[in-house]
Amino acid sequence: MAKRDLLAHPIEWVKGKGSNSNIAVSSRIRLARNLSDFPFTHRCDHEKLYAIVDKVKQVILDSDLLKDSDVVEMDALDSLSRWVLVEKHLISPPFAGDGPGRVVIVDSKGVISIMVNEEDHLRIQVILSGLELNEVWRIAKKVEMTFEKLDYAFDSDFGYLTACPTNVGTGMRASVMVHIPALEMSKQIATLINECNRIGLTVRGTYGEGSDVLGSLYQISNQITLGLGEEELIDKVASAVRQIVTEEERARAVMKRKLDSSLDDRLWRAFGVMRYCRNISTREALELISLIKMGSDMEITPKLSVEDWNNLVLGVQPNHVQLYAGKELTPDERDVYRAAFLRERLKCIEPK
Amino acid sequence: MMCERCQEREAEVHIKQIINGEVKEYHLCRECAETMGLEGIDLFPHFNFDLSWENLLGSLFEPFAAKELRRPVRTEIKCQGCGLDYSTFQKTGKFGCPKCYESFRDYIKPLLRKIHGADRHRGSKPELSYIEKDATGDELEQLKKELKEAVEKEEYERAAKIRDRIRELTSKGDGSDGKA
Ligand SMILES: [Zn+2]
Ligand SMILES: [Zn+2]
Repeated sequence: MAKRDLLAHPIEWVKGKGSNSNIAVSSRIRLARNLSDFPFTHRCDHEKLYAIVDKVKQVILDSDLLKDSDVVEMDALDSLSRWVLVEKHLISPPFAGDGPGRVVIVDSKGVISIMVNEEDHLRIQVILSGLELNEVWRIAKKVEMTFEKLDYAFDSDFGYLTACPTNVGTGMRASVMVHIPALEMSKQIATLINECNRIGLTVRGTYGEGSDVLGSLYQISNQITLGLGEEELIDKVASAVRQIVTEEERARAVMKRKLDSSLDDRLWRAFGVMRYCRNISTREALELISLIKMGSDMEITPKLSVEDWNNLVLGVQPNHVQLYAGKELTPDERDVYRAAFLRERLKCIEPK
Repeated sequence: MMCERCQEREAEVHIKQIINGEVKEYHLCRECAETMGLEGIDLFPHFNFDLSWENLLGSLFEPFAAKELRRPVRTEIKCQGCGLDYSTFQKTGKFGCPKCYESFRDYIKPLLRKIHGADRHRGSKPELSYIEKDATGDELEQLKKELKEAVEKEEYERAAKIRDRIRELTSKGDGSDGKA
């Protein structure tokens, strides 16, 4: 398969079909699994890494669920393509680095992605748009069972065994990305983080621990993986997210009720800047996109669908901008192309 | 809002980061942001989706090492599967192979309790159902043997767990445990 095809691969979560996808952008579950007969990835030599890859490929050929998937060797991709996959949330940032035997499998709908020889032999990931963790879990478990014949490393005390003790047990990380600009503006994020931590949940930036919070997008996920069942962990995350959605809606309603000229101006100004800018950083672009999305949800600025919004958020990322330009760019050049991209997209969104 | 660094120009760059569960906010003017190198966004830090080991490392090992283990780690334990020694694991936070868990079993339970607040898995199991069904009988026999052994060796904690598992198996009856 040609690498450009994978970059143009449909991604289901972007379409914004799930419930509450205005605020709960996407739901993701990741399962870590290892084969019992092999050392963990970081202690495997070439031969073992490729032996694992071969076993996985064989399972895919025999699987109705996965046989139409794209199977791509990371080494066959240039660096730009790898980072585009990271921006799409199909692979993790460390997986985009160097090293032999890394393969990513993406199903034809762009719901399932499987990293082979990441920190664990298998990192099975399923993403859907909206707050849909139960459905995501159902799919993830189905995929996981497809590979069960490879004989997972499992211990009746410790559960599924992983290279790092922080993932052992269920090997599961369930996370939901939320867009909460109104909670941010009303200074409620610190409280939210405290509350989440108190019940065993973690709040992170868009691309994980230590990454910046951009465009008011936060990830809510389970902190522990051992001692609770998968459904219990999922319920925790889901019920926290439901509350966050309610709080965000409430904060927006309050803002709308006492809408002053300064907020009104800020939202429209964001629209104007995006429509006419000539040079814009990722950070500023994401902030403006967040504002015009909230403005659209509050019926102040023109309607922006969830799908268009998701495509804007992806499109302004550094590697997507280079994909848009069709060539590698310096950071300064990127800011110019990013502005061009935004102008082009905003042309189609008309103020009434 | 004024730039919090120079207090001269309007703050135009607003940066939020979550570090160890705390939000840090910076409000800077363009010039200051650039001098501080903050315009190059740290979209992808070295951390993964997961909990970072570096954050845990300091606090985890020290407190339990002396207290919770009756046997001091005098002779270095090694994994029978891959040869990784326990002190290397302590340094890196990564196991070498699945058998490491078995080899270091008693040593890592306190560690798991620190990380997860639990040391026992309660989630799903490999469930190739045809194996499960056939295995139940054999597993029961095996567990009874292990129970006897554990009691003889006065490993009561282990015995209790085996007993629980036997109870689980025998109470199933119809072979379904309710959850798919
Ligand atoms: Zn300044
Ligand atoms: Zn080992």
